Amino acid sequence: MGSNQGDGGSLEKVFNAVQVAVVDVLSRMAMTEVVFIQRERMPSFRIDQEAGGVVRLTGNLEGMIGIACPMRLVQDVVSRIVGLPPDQLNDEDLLDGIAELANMIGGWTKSNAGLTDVRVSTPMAIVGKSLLAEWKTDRITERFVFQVEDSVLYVLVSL
Amino acid sequence: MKLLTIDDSRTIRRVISGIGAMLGYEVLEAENGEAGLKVLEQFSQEVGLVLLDWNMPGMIGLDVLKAIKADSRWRHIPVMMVTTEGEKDYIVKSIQAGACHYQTKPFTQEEMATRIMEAMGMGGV
Repeated sequence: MGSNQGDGGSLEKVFNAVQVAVVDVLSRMAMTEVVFIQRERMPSFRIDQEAGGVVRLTGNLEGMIGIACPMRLVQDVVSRIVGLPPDQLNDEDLLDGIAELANMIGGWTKSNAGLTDVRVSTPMAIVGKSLLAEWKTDRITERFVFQVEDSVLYVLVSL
Repeated sequence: MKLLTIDDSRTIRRVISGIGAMLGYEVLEAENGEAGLKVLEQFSQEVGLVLLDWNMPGMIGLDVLKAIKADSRWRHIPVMMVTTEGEKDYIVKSIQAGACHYQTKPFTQEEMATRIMEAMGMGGV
């Protein structure tokens, strides 16, 4: 992948767009209240919750955007989006749901940041107990922490 | 009259199916472009609106749109793009290829319901 280093203004624009995208996606699709808590620099891009979704950005800006959260939050959010009780959702529903959340957050970030000639990949979803997935990278990785209902949603951005 | 949603995400297909049902429409589902065209082969006389994702594995939405508009059996059917791609360039390409509406994701249920009613009321491109 090419380097995005030396373009701090553009990167900051994307980081700001991520916050807007997370709130927009969850409030509009799931009618869920989302509160931004904090942003922190991370040594690597790590998914260490029960559920995760990742999209890659390629083109003029390259990197990854990912989400990670407890399975209970995925169940609640997907349940609200599709209008079915959580106990009627199967594993495929949850896998697809978290993938689509990552897809919408990545795509909406791209639109909000006004990124042209950037492609958002189809999403990858990861679900499992004691899950740990890590991409070592020399890129800047920021982790955004959101409160969603009584759970925490992490959004990772590596650019 | 039926709606056809072509989207690789079952979550989005379910959302659209729910909204369509709420409006009184039966909603057919296809998980990719090729499957969507097969559904059209079977139900072309009954489908009143196609709701089409842009980014899908295999045939992308724009190519599906072009295929629909290139076929005399289907070109009268209105197509709404439903996508995370919000840039002007994507919207222009879609309209040029024959889409009648463009709805970005994320959307609220009310927004999608309104769009569907507008598109169905339009009755063609």
